[in-house]
Amino acid sequence: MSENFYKNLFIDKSIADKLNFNPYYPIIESGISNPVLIKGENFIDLASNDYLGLTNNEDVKNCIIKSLRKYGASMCGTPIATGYVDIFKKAEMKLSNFLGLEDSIIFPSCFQANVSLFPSIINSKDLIIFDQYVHASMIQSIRTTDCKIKPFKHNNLEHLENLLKRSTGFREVFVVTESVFSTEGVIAPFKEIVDLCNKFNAIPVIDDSHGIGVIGSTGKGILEFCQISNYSGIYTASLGKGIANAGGIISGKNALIDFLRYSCSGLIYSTALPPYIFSGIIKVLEIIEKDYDSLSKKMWANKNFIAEKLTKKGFGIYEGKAPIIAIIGGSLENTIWLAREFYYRHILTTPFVPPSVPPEKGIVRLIAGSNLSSDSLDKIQLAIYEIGKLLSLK
Amino acid sequence: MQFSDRILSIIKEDVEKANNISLDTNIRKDLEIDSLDFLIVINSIEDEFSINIDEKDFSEIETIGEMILKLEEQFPDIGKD
Repeated sequence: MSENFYKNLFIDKSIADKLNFNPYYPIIESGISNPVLIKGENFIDLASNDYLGLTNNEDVKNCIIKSLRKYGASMCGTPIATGYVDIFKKAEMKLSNFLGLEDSIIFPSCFQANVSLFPSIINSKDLIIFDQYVHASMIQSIRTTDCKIKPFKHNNLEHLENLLKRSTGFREVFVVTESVFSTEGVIAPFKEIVDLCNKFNAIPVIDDSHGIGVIGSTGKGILEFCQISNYSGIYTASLGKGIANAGGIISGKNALIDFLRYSCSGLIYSTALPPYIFSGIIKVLEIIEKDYDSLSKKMWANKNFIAEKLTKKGFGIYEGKAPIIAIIGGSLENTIWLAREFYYRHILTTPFVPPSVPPEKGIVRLIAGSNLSSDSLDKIQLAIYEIGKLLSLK
Repeated sequence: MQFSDRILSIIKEDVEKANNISLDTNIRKDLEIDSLDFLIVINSIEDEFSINIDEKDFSEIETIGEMILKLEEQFPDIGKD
């Protein structure tokens, strides 16, 4: 056995050691309700992706419990065998109708959906053009193919068009991006990207993980936000963020979904999600259809409140068109320091450091769900004031 | 324009921190670019000179000068149009 193998598995935690704070893998002793419990103490959750605050909605929980009693903990099978329970099918249909797409399949996670997508559909004579900042799951999926791949500069339509102009002689050309780039909350110019795809006969692929349930006039995500009708490309999304459950989808034309049902290894060879998850997904979609307007107003009010306090106190922030606040942390040490200061004040945040972001471009991300109480907002305001003071002294 | 100047010009166009570069510039360390930034540069060189580059052949390259030498070695007629 090679001892070097284990010696080489080294993670540099020197900054965490220096600051006596590791923000990753906090052990949470409650659900992601607000507050969350850590080491027996209440924390405010600005770290999870529970945008609409539906993970602990009573109707959702009751629906899941009822389903758990009916179907049990698991179907102990892949979807192609025993995993394709009736509410699996119902959830797929509900999602397809919600999105206005022909058909959908549900994977155990969106990471798995994305990673499984391109190896299933790509030919070596194809070309994949992709935004350089798409999610790691898409990069991994693209990298596993044997076709030509070309990244385009982040959200740069001119660069994309130049690449498309020069991309002749391929069997198919795919253009991949994501709706909401989740570190900064920037929304991709997807309408323009779809127009370019139409012009150059390319197939658009969008990961709408931070868009579904969150953006668009009724919460239906990027297609609604960009007013794209009759979308003929490929759509993927997580069901563990705005949809407050688990799993991921690939949606699109009937022909694509039917092909994937029988050829996508990430679906065929993976145990299906437990049935109660599908009940939870269906219930959340029903709530969004009924209450999106009020939930979304609260989410935006909370986001705007926090962003305004941060700006007033002199924090550098990125504000995209999505309900995400990104505080500019800069260096690795400063980014972890910022997250630590929020943690010390019982506020959970998500620090992004390299390689998730470029060097010296660390970010502390805050997602203010619609379920934040006014008491929590007061505590956040006080924390911003105190940390802002510390920052001015640094 | 000389071949090396054309490569420097492509890198300046594609990389944010490439205002002050020379043949000795270390591509990854000095320019702080990741593998996808590097692939953007490779794709631009491919388009500029109508060649097909296997990026794996350039994974060990450190400086811009080394990259130019490698290109000239792999494509003897490159830049001679």
